Amino acid sequence: MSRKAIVNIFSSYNNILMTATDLTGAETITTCNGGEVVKAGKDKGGQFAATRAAERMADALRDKEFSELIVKYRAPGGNQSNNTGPGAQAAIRALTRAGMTITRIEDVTPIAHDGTKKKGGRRGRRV
Amino acid sequence: MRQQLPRVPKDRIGVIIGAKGETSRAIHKAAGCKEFIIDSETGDVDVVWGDAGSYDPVKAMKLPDVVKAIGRGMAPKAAISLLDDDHFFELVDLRDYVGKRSNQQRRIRARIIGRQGKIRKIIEQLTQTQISIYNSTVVLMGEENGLFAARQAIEMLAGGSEHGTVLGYLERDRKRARLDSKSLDAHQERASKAKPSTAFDALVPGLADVSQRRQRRMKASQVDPEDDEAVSDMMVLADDERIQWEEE
Repeated sequence: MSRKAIVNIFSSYNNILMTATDLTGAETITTCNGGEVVKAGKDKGGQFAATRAAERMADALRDKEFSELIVKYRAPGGNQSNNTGPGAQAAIRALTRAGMTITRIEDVTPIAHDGTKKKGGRRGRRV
Repeated sequence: MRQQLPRVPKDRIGVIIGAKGETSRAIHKAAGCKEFIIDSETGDVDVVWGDAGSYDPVKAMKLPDVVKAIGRGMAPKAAISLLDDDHFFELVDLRDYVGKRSNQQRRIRARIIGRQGKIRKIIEQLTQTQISIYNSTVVLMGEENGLFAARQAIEMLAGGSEHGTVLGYLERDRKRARLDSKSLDAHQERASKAKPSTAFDALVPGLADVSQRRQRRMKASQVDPEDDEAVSDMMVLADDERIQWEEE
């Protein structure tokens, strides 16, 4: 019998965090993130890191006999960027390549309906 | 499974439907969905996906971006190419930089576009991206590295940097990207990606070698003689090359 899991993907420009839970969302099955799979910090958010992390995750899920997935992906959102990093797409692609069936895919980026002030101060981010 | 996509503004409804529904059919086909429904009165867009496995989840993830891009002024053909794997989408909201006063938004829009679209064209060319400016949003599309630089450039312009500074930044970024592509890591990555020979190459002995040699000669003939580095690269002998001479 195949079991179903939820994969939560948080993808920013700097990193990608993935957590697989059961359908209630309360019990974590396995986690993986960009920092675990690459050496250089600047690569953590990239496509390569995402692919590696997703493959790792798929292996762990397969060991526990999960083969159907619900994917929920998000960008930082809120008063930060609403665009997902380049890793989200690569991760989902890698999950399908690893033989997982994705039954549903959902964007759960938190959208601010007017919230707190964005970081950076009055004069903006100074580089 | 029915899914709601971002609503399209009134003046872009005609574009997303296309002449006799041409564009909407093209999107339907490219996405591989079961139904693609546009309400031509309100601009609501809905998509119906078939059973799991009958469609590509990555396309399901990117379809909202395609609709958003068309709604934000991008040409449909370019927006559909967004469904490809190595194309990314990026949306910058100018309101984050200048607030909601329309005069200020107009000023920033004008700065990004430039006289006769000059600045926008330069950014597009230097970063290999496509840029569309519509009301208070800027939509960027392109490959990963260029897209990052383009977004940085747009943010710099919106934040008040001078045009010269931004173009200087893009120029520097391009130089750095070229250096990166020559580094050892990039070389190894490319080698691992090199496509295996096709079946036809395997059938005819020596064909692969010949085509490789021809490609090399073609590349050598296009080297710029002024560029010392490129010339010295060209002069290095490959494994199956050698120099022959005869005495007269």
